Amino acid sequence: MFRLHVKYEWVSVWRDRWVVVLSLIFFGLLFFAIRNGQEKVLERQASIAKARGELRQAESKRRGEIDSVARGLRQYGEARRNPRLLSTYGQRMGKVVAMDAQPLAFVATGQSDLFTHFAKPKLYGEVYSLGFSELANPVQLLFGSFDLAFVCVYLLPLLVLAFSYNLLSSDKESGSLRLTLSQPVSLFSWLVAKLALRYAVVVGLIAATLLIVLAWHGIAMSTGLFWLLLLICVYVLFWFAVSFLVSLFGWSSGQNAIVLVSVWVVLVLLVPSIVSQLANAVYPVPSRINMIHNYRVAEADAEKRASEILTSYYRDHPELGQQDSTVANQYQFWLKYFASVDVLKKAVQPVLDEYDGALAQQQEWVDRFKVLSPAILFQDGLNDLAGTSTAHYTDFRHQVIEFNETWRNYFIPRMFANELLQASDLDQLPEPRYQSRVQPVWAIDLLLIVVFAAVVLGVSFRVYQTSSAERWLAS
Amino acid sequence: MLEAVNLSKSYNGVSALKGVSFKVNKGDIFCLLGANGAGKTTTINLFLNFISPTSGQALINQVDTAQQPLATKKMLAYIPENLMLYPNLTGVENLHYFSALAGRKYPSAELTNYLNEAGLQEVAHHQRVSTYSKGMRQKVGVAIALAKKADVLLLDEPTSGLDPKASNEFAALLKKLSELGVATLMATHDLFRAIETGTHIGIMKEGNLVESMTTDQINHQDLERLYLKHMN
Repeated sequence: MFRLHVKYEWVSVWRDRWVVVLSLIFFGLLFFAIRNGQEKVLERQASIAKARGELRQAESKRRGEIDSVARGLRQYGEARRNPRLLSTYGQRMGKVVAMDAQPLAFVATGQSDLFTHFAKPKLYGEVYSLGFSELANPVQLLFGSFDLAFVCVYLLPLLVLAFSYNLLSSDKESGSLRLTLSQPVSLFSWLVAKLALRYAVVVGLIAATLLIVLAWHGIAMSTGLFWLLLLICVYVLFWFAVSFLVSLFGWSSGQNAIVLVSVWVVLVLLVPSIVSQLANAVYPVPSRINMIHNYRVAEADAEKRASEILTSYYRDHPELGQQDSTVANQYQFWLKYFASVDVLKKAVQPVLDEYDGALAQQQEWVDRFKVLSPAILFQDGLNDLAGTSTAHYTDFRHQVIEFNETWRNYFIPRMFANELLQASDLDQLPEPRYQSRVQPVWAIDLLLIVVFAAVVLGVSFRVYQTSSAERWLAS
Repeated sequence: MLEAVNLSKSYNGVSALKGVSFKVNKGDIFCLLGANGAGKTTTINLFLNFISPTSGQALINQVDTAQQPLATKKMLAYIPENLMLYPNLTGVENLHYFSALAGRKYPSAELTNYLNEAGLQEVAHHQRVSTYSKGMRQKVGVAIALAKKADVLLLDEPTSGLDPKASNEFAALLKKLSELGVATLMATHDLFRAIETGTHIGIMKEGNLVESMTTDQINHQDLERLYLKHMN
């Protein structure tokens, strides 16, 4: 019986020109979205490769110079032009800490248009910023770019609804439902079969389009792709379930359309926007201006007391004292700064902590309230799979700051010891090893969307049980 | 065989049907006459289990339609006033679908036979139903009844809106089904057709069956007089 319903539903769908037109439009949207996403990924990879390439070139040039100078084959003029100076090398030749794109990065732009994907550590400078242009981080659950995530989160439900809103009501309105229900069939299995077929058509369409477009753009297949498809399937299932529930109330096609579009507006537009706005209102991110101001005040103060700070710094770190005290340390200017870094840090730490804390609390808030809408869960899952979520960028920022510390810890003690670089030292420099430390959350998101779909289907079943044929046949 | 036993239906305390009883035997064609709102369609809907009776029973082959709707629906065929099929499917596909729903599967040659028997011109068999006229759709409805081997046929004003020729063909089909032993219950406004094709006539008024007779007891003029007497 099920197969019979499915077979004829398929024939009907196949002969419906509207469905073909919808499919073509959707194919076009997906094609464009994936192309957009992939372009961004390529730009990102190109900018990282460029930075790495430039550094490699500069390194080999510098290695030659250091070697020549060390062997006395080359003069450099003024003392500050000595290529062997630790201060110059450490400040200008920082390693590239890069966040390479994950295989599914094309799926969701996420936060990737807000942050840079590589940073170079420096000895001197405002530690906290490190090339992160955007510090007043909006929890960007709202509109992003036109990428696959946008098409799937916002437009896909509309496709599903357009495809299913009048499944029962059109038969009721045309009158064929009376003939169908005069046969020994249950309306429930009949409707489930019709929806199942349409569900399969939508999912099949997405899977096929995705594979074709990925092959077209030469994007490699990965296991992540399977999970991506699964996530999409579950989200589509949820929207079919909503359509199923609404159709069981036996309203007209027009009423169904209005109710379903309202549900879409609430779940896809209103709830995410309210959650995001509330997150900003309840846990406002401190102003960046304020942070810079505090930093500069502390800096100016530290400069004034530089010698005093350095003296007490030596008192606290006797191990850093120069062995040969008859020679003036050539890094004198820098040492004062390094000594004052601790003072500076202490001065700005509260602001930094406030910033990090607010971000963490916002994230927690969103994590807590994302269960209010499958659309947020789905977007969250897609960002996670794409490796472009807020968590990924926060993790990257922390790893950059950590590497910056490692870099300084390599140079600073040597500068206090008044050393110069050897060409062989260049092989001993710390290397950044960025590896995402973010715990994947997409599986949880997926499960929660399944729960949503199951609840809606459960309610549907209840509505069906408490209704009689009168509800669906009454005109 | 079809039987209404003290059948009543009320909506929010308003009675639409007040204890109606009648019986339609094998091969009989029972024509229900009456003004709009007299309870004819309500009676048919009760046999289809589209609504549940407030009291009484609607029986098909002694089986209560409210208790075992799936079993009774296997035994009946239904042709509403405006029979609608699936517009994107052809006549043959619609017939295959609806007869298979009733648990009867036929090879396509046999489906064609049923459509021919119902008088649907061969050229239309493989056209989409969206191109069919109402008369053609009714014929597919009859073919479904034939293919289902229904014992009971429920008709709700099937000839309204049909041209005289189509109406005449339809009456001939009903007679054919009646000869095959089908018990037919037909709600109609067409007194002439009722006398011509029916074996029994019932007149309904405000939810009651006020007259019941066989057609050989009465002619068209007398029936019209009797009908109008009840309506005034």
